[in-house]
Amino acid sequence: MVTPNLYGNLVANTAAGIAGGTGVMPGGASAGNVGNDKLVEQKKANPVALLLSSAMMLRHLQFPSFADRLENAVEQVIKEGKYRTRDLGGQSTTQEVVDAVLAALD
Amino acid sequence: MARRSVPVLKQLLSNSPILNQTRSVTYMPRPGDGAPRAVTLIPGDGIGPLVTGAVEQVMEAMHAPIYFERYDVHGDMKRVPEEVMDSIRKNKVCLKGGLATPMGGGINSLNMQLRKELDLYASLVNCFNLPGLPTRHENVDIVVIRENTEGEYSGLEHEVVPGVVESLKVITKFCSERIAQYAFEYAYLNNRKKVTAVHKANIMKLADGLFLESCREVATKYPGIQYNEIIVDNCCMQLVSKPEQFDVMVTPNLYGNLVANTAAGIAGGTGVMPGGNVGADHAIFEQGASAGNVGNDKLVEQKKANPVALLLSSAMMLRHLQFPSFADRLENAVEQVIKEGKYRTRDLGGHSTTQEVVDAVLAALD
Repeated sequence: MVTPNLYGNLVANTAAGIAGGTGVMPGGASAGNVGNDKLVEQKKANPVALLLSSAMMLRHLQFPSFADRLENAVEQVIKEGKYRTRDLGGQSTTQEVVDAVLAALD
Repeated sequence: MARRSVPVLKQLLSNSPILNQTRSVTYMPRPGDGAPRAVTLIPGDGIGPLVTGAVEQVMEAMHAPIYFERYDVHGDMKRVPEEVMDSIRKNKVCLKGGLATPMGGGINSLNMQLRKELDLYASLVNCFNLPGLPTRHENVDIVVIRENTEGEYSGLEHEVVPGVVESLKVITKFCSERIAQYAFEYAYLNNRKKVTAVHKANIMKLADGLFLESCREVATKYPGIQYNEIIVDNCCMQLVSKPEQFDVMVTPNLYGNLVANTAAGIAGGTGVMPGGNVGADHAIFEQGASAGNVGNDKLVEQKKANPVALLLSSAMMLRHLQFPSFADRLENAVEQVIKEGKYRTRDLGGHSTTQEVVDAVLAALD
């Protein structure tokens, strides 16, 4: 979908919302949202969106196999469903999700 | 004092879209209240005549104390004819099918013309789950109150140099204040708990900032009603993931258009949500969200447009005219038909024609 500025802001957020939430979509929906103090204190922010965005970045830098490994690891963790932050219905901390991704890397 | 409280009581009792069969307070009319009221009827374009025809049939069957003065208006006319405007000014209430707005070409939308000339500054849509029509979300009951006259719809555009266009968004304290006032008053009269202002003041600091300021001022006059604010992009996301958090929403013009359509979509579709436009002196009732949508040719040919939205809007109109029991009968009949699920148009997953749904409603009337 190609949109002017404002409509794109709204459409991107709506589309992210129906597909799983702005905590997981790579690219940059809701990039101005820096969470709330509680999230920072408890260290329970969802790292998935930025991890997937950094995979996009690796491809942009022309390192596709690293991008593949990162994406596969993240997708595996989401699929298994054991380590999920609160916006995805779980209770994990950021570090627990990261540790799971590190373990899933090949 | 007792007389002034009757309309308030009626409003309070009419807040729930799912009505009980019995009312705990009977409505004591003044002598002469049963005299038929005139209502201007504009069938319009596309599916408009089909759905206004549905309303006419149901009103006739109920012997509702209203009679329609029908006028032919089409979206490709330059202006709404003066006789139609006079009729609306005389009757104060109008029911409209839909007027197509041609894109580009310098012809202004007739819908906008009606709103501006009659100063219908509030557009209201009630988006709620209908029993028997399950959607992805439950417990949705959102009322979107949208500023209807200014904002991004000021129609002020100019080409600075070829290839560069400037579009003016106008926000005034006057309009922001009165829409906020209407939203809080509506919440108060309908026993609603929370009003949420939708904005993008982080980017449009002056325009949306002024809107927010006006909302905040009005909020202080209603300490019993919760007030909060939400940025429009986050709002869109929350609407599609956790819509049950919203109650009454007050918005400037464009965001209201988008929020109303989104809310209608998650709760069952624009084919079923009632609503209308109201100002200090007049009210026009029409399909709640996406009122400019007049369907496509196939829908018109096959006569399969969904009449539910306009039927429910006409029930809102009956309450506005202070005929609550007719409104109740109409709403109950429509809700029964939806619940039974046998007669549904295509947008609700069925195959019925408009007339089949109308016949089912007529049969369900008590």
